[in-house]
Amino acid sequence: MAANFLWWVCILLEITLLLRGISSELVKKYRLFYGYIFCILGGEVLRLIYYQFARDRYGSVYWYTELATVIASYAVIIEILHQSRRYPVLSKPVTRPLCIIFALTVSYACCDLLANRFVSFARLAADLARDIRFVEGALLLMMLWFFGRHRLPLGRNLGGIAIGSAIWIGANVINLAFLSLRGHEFSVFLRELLPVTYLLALIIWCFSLWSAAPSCAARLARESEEHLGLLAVKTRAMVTGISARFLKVLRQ
Amino acid sequence: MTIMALLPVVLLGALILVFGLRLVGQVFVGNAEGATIEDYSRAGRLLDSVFIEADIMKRILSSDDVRFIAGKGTYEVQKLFYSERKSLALRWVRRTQAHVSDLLKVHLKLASYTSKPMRKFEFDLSVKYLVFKLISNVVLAVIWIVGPFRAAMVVTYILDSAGYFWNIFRLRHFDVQGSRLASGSGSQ
Repeated sequence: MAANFLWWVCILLEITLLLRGISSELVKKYRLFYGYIFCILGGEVLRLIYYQFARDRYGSVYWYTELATVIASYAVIIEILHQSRRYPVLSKPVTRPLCIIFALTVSYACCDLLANRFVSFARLAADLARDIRFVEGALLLMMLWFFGRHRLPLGRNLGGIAIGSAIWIGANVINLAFLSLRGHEFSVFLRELLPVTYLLALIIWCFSLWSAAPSCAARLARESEEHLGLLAVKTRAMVTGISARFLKVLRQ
Repeated sequence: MTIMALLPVVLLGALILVFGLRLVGQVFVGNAEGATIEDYSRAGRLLDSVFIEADIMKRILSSDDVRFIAGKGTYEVQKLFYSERKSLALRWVRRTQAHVSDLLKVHLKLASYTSKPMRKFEFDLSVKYLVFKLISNVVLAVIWIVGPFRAAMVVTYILDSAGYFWNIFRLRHFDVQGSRLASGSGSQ
């Protein structure tokens, strides 16, 4: 009963998010993100229809839609990366690994599929979804680390997308790790908690994308490249001797 | 699968959640204002001021005062003296840490403006900062455990020992290099 209620609330929030996105014209700006939400909504509606009218085929439909939504969730990572392209400090080091790692994961999954001679689609979808989630988690962590390290002002819209994704993907990764411990109490608890974390992510997305917030375009500095280069050299000079200077003071 | 085998994945998930929550403060609380060259200069001046006070700090940690107090002061005076010097030393270390961290923060904010990221440079800087963090935290712990005067003795002992071994290593290195050069030139 509670699970069904959560299901309906999530669908409602996804519809709200899409409608608000259209009315505030954020859909045009964050196409990939809204595409992902649309994909999830489509999947959930499809599952709901099969659950109500053709329960015997629900299992296979579940795995098809699950794999599709996990692959589509890459769109959110690409969206965050695309929107933060103003900061080459982030976009340059992340873009290439993103493409390489994604290609490697898909190739690995294909090899695995050939080696196991296509045991079952459900098994393949579950394995691929898990691997993609782990890789996605690693990439997201890298991006979040960059955001925190350089204190990038992402703005409410993009920041909300990143925070919601972090909560959803982080909880998902932990859940997938414990999923192999079937019957373990904590694993059961996590599985029950997962829809709640998704609901939380949706609430954050709704709140942050309710209206268009000013972007962080003005941040790109008035400071010239030469100035920034000089400052970098100055910082290195200051930090290079800092440990020695510090210890020298304490030396008797 | 054991829980130990799951640890890296669980750690990955937990780190994503922690960094995500940290981003909440950055996005919604609004502590991610931009930085200017003036901010950078201010942070640099503050860090310099810590080292301008170096002589005062040396005086605070000097053993002359300890000897004087140990000879003339009552137990209460000695106790007060030690606790005050300890808190001064701890405050100085923490202030140095805070100023270095502020300087790095402003530097990193400014680094995000550049269209030519210097990855090797930034990595080098991060390593140096981590070394400083490690050393300063060890010093902080030593001061907190044994007091500032013994801490100064420990630092002096460690640095002198390191210097001694470094000199021996360098001399050996020169000897080995010299003998290799000599044998190399003899065989030709």
